[in-house]
Amino acid sequence: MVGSDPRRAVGAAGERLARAHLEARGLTVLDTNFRTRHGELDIVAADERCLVFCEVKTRVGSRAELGPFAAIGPRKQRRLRLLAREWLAEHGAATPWRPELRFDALGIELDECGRLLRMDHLEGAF
Amino acid sequence: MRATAAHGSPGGRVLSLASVTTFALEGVSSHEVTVEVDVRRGLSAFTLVGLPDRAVRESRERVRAALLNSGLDFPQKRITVNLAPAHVRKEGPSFDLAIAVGVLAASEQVPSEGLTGSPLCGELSLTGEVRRVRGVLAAAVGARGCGYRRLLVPEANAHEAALVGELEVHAIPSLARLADLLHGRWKPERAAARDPVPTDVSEAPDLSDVRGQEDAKRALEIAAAGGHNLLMIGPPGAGKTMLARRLPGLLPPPSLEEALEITQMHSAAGIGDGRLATQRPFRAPHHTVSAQGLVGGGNRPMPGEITLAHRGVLFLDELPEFGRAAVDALRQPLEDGHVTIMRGQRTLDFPANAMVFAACNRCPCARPPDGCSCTASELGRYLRRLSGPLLDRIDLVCQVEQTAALVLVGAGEGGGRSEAACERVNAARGHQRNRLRETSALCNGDMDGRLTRLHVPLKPSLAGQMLAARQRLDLSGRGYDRVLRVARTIADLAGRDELGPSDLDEALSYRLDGLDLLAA
Repeated sequence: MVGSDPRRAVGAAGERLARAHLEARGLTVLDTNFRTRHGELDIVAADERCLVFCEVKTRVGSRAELGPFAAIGPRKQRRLRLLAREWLAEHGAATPWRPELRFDALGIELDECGRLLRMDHLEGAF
Repeated sequence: MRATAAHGSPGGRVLSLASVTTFALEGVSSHEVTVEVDVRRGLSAFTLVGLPDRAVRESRERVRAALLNSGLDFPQKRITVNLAPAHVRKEGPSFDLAIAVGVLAASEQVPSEGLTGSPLCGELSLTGEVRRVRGVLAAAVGARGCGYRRLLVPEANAHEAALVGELEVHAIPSLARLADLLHGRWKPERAAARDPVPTDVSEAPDLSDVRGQEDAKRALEIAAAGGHNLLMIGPPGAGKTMLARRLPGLLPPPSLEEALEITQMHSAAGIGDGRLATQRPFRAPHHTVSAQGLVGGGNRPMPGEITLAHRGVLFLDELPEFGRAAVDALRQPLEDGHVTIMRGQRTLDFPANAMVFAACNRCPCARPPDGCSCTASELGRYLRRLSGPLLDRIDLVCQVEQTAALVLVGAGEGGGRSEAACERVNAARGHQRNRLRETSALCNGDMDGRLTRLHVPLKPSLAGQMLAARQRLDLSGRGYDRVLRVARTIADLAGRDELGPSDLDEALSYRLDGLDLLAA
């Protein structure tokens, strides 16, 4: 399901790759693209110990000097925390309790044909 | 190696730690600061802890730009910088270089072995050049005190730090060169101190420029010989300021230790060109100076005029015009030879061992006595501003009269030259050094009460003379000691080992003057 907007298509491709990566690492994906008026949580996943909120940033080519993580500044971090609170308010009761909570950042670089060049997974990024 | 090995590890955390030593200026001395840098995987962030002030916090931007512009890498990782000890406030930009090198070592761009045992300080420009910083001499003295053998400083300051002989000082022009040095690709020369400014004797003002005023010159000579404080009272144009300007020329040149102290004070205040001082300082603050300006202080404590005049002369022209608070603030330093300033969580100590030379007019209108229109109350108010406690700390009070017209227009030399006076002063100081060699005092003026009683014993006949004088003049205990010290200096000038009645008389006459005037 490729949308008309190429940027959205890149994002969706990155998130699919990220989801596959997280599942390969043994995490269960609980929710994707959780949206409120404040923004969007890309992936909410969990293992036995940890509830993980993931922000996925995808770039085509490695032209951007600072890499995908440059887009996750302090304001974005604040917003992701707010979104996590909202997610917990909505789904928290229905989710089995885990002792830890973590924010991860995934930086994905693709080439023009959509092939994966590089993936960085920062656990506990902030 | 470590970075790549941990890259794919399940923890996903690469951590690397570096620690760099630097010296931070505090007042006029410096203390050791350890800069710890931790670089680990995470979203790019730069956190600086350990009570940094604004200038230190801004160093992040300078460090980032300087690293990138030097062809080095600023890691896009989570960087934490700690300045230890964490309870001392850190000020100024001199931490830049240490932080940058810490980042380089923690991200394994330079080997960290080269950093142990060589503290460094310097400010960075965005291009990666190392800029000069204030107080490098204090840092060098501190590094020597902490047992370091090597110090890396900005190129512009290197000759100043090299004044501390036991230290191997290397001049760092830029961050890239420093990286070369740490990699062992560059072996810098040991920096050398610059030759001191040659003193031009013919240029210095000479005593013979002042015509007449033989009494005042005598008082000046005594003050110079014993390091005593002096107040001259007289009409404008009589030559008070001229005499004051000639006082530094009468004092013996500073010893090496003294010269280092003088240079360190000036370096900490950011004045001077980093050469070793060969002359004693002469500071003449304007009478609008504040108490803080005079004794030091401020939110970020800076040395005041009396500290800048350390081992030299502080000239206070128009003493009654100075603010009351400013003059009173001088009391403690005049007595103790240092200033203690407390600011919030710290106490600073500034050395302030200067001779005070004060000058004032006889009355506020400053006209000659026959043309004076001041009322008695104006006169009283003017003289009362010479605060009593300060006057008590002045050893010699001397009245200066207008020089007679005949002496002024007379041809030829105006009396004794500085050279001759300087020789007498040196001889007198020699006697004093001999007598005081096992104490911290350098001249009679430095003696405290205990030393005074020890070194100026009074024969019974002289004791009687002093007792009478004490009652007549209403001398305080402090004033009594000061008379003895001045008398000792007068005897030293004459080369006498034992105090004579004439020495005591002359010393007392310099107190009499002051008290007469106040009573009038």
